[in-house]
Amino acid sequence: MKKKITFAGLLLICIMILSTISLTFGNFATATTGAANFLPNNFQPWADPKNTPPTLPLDTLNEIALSEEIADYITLVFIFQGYNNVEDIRNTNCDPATFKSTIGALSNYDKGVIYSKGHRTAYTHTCGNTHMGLIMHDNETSVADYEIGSLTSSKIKHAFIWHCETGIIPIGPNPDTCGYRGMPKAVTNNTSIAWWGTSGSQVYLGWNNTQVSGSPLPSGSPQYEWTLIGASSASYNYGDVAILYYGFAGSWGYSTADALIQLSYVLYGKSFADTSLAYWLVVYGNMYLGLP
Amino acid sequence: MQKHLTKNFVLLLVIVLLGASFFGAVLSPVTGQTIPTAVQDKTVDILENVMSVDLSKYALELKIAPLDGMPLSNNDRKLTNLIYTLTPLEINGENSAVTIYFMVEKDVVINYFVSVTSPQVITTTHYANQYEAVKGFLEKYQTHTNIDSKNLIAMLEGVDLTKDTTILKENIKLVLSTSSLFGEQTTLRWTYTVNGADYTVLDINVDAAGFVCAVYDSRALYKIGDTAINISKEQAIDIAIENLQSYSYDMPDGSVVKDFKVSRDKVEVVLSTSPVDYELRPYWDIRMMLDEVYPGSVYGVTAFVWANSGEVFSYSNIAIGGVINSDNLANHSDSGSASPDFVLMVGAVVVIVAVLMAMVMGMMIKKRCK
Repeated sequence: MKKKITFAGLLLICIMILSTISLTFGNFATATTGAANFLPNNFQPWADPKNTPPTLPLDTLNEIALSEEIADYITLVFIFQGYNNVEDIRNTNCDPATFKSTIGALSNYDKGVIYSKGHRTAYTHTCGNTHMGLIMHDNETSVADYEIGSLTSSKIKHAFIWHCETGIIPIGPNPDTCGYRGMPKAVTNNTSIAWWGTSGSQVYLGWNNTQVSGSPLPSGSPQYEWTLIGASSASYNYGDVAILYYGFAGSWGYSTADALIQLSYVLYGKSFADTSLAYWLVVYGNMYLGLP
Repeated sequence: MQKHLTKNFVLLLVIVLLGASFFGAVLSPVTGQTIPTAVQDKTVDILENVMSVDLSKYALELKIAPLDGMPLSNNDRKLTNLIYTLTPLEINGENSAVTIYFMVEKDVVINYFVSVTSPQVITTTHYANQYEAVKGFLEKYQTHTNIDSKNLIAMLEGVDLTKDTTILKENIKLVLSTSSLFGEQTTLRWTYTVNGADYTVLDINVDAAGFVCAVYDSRALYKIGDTAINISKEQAIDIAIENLQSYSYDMPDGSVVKDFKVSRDKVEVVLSTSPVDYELRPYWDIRMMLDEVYPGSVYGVTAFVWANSGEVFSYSNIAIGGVINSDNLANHSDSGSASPDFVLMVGAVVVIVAVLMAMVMGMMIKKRCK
């Protein structure tokens, strides 16, 4: 009788351990994943643009409303991906210290995921003017590529930096004596990340500075509120690109390449390679990867 | 004794199962739904009779998900995503499954494409060259859609599929373009064109092997409305500039930005079409660069003017994220730490609860044995 009870007890404990293991690892990723969604959108009170230097508010009311709504959606996608931790850093919380500590903390996970939407700045620097940084909410401070590069690692598996010219890697030594130049290498901490590559464990999306066909000016990242150039409907804006990308690459498990193709069919009625987004919105690393 | 043991075991099992199902439900990535069988049949017909996929070689799995819950700027469209995974019955390699995406709107398959990560699809038909493959595709696709495509097929006569070109024949414009972004591909785009405005479209991508790997077709989705261009390009520019005086946008502090200055030589105009209740109408897309950067990173304003009535139906800011303050220096700070790991925390709680319950049960069993 006693043996039977001991056996039953052991069996019970085994079942409980198995249940715990399946709960912890079964439905979710086997590796741990941390994600950070930054929204350092900015508004400064109106100032005379004729002042030197001019201080113009960077975002309209409509842009801020769209940005908040899209940030909500992307955070939700990260949560539904089952990531172990999702940081949603917005507005006044988006300062250099928080930005850097959050980026750095992603190395505590097996995989790191980053999205950031805002503006960029360039540096007059002892290392030259080819470094750039992401402007924080106060429009006074920023975080430079070389600073980001010192905090990231190859654990950053997916990043989309929706700031101006974040798809550009400056020509010349990289890293230089200050560190990484340009966001693609800095964010992925990868000196050999390939342009529209098909191998590796990382994928990065950013914006080129391109004179897009049909655009009246050379453009870095479009603001969300800008109506899509050449779309199949006059009611779509660039914010829809972000929404559909995360919808397809996240919830529906598309690769980055497939997500870009599908969102282009929905918004433009043509494949990505035939839209004005091609070579403006650029991919580094393995385009066959989606969100982890 | 056994009765108590069974009772406690069942109780524990229920708790564990409830917990597992709760977390599984909350974090489930894809929500399935049903769509009319006729629509599903259409996608299978495309697989079998248009793409000529050899279905005897694959096991099919289908996932269906609506594109709702997204905060898109145009939420009138009801799109449903169908994802087919075709797993070869004879495994030839690690990643030999083929994924094919379909998008359905108003029960019409508006596009489908083979994932760029997929290997070559096993088909029942083989063509001598790209030209024969495209012609063969159009004939089969015509049968599937019941839309007369003889005029589209006729336009292929004598066309070199490796060269970018544009052909206009009556109301149909065929544009051929090649790209190598996702492998060597040729795009053929037939557009129904009236008075210089593009309406419905059939757009296909054919790879180097002659396989049509992607299709977009809006012909069955949209009706064509009033195609009259009653407003000329110059009149449209006048209307846009005149009405710009009444356009303004808000800033977060309550201030209003208005009184924009544009010069006529910095205006670009494109004639396009846009749907209203699934009916395509022509409009002038008038992009006006401003004399300086306005608050909110606004470099220009686009006016949208209906080409038949002259009504301005929308404005949009041309705005980019690259306002530069060149001398900003980054603040340095010490690293902080992120929030606790959610799943590990959940796991730890479950383990503690399970161990505690096991201990209690063990004590109960021991007590009863005595």
